[in-house]
Amino acid sequence: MSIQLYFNPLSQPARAVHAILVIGKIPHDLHNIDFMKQEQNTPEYKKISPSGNVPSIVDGDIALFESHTILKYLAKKFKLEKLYPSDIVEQARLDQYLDWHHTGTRNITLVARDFVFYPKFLGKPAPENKDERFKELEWYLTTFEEIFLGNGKHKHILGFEEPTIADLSAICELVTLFMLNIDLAPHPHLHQYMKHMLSIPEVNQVHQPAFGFTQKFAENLRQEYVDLMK
Amino acid sequence: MSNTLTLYYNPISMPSRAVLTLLTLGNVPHTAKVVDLQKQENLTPEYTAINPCQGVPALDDDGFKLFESHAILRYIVNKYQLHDFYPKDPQEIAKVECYLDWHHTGTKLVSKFVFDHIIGPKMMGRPAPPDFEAKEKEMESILQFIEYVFLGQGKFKYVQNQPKMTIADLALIFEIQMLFGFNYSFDKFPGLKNYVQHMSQVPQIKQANQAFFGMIKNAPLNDFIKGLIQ
Repeated sequence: MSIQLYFNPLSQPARAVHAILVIGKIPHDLHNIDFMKQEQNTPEYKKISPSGNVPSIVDGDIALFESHTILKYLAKKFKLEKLYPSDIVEQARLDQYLDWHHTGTRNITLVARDFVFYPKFLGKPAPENKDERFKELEWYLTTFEEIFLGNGKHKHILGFEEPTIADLSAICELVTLFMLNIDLAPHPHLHQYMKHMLSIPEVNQVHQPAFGFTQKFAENLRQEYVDLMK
Repeated sequence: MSNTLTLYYNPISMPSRAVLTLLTLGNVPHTAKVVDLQKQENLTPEYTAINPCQGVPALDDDGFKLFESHAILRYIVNKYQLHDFYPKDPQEIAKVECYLDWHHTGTKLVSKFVFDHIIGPKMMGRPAPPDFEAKEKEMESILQFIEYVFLGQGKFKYVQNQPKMTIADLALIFEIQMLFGFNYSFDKFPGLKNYVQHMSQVPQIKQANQAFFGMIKNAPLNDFIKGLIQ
């Protein structure tokens, strides 16, 4: 029986779940939820995901929302040991990142939403505290590099040998930096990490629609971002 | 069981209280050390070596260090086999995890509202943000979602209809109780009100709240809250 994934290719957490399905060769069907048509607010979709968010999955009788819960559930069900080890100490270490992500890395999308997506596509005025928000974002990026990439010592989050679900979640969020066109020169370890993660074929594959969107709508894109999309 | 755990915590911190309560409920031998946030003990090099994020709680298990309260809760459950507080069935696990993930961007907005608009201005002389009504409305939509989805419109005794209290309930209750400091009338949400009542009466939860209750006991409080903080 196939996993039904309800997603949108522009949703960062939805791409992470799409990536694990492809990497794990898990049989699945994709259902695109079109935000512009408000498909997330239909009664049918709310039965699956009560918050109306993507991603959500249906696996037989069970419907699940929250991408990290879905990533863990799929990794455990399909025994993707390298993506989420069964050892409780290794899990606890990865859980640190997965928990921190919601109020850490996820700020990238919140800043992009408030200062790029809402003004550009919905005509909503950007908040006035732009400098403060971008300064705060720089702090989160630096914290990510220092604590989770060990200031360049780690190839993957917290030094795991192979990519884990923490890396899948992180890279999908980091790609949103393209739309913010943030200078990566102060973040060399982040830049290296993004290069490495986007060279993984399945990760690159699920990002193709997002890359297309970025190429269409981002203005004066820095060369490093153009290179990361090749 | 030998005592290898040191929990670094602050008695006012909600996630700290959740972890302390699990340790008490599970009869897990541990040493609890207070981190004085007002004296900025969390910013010292010694504490930063334990928790690079400089938050509370943090765990040191005989050299294995962990931050993020949900990661700590899961690790304690797994290590000490506290199956009363976490399901075994993969789908029930996923339901509990769904709450724990949603919490970071859902429930946390409740305590953020209380900190920004009440505790900050009244106790720390910080200016209140300008958008009180909008934030109060957002906070109440979170309470409504909790009651509707995670408490089954008031029909569930515990989050996600688990047969016994789980770590999801421990994460939730201390956040909601911050509304006591706001003298909140829970009457709009009778299902949530029932939940707050029965959870607040659990002796170990009451015990973990002593410092917080001491802080608010002289404020004007409605009878419901007064009854729960005796």
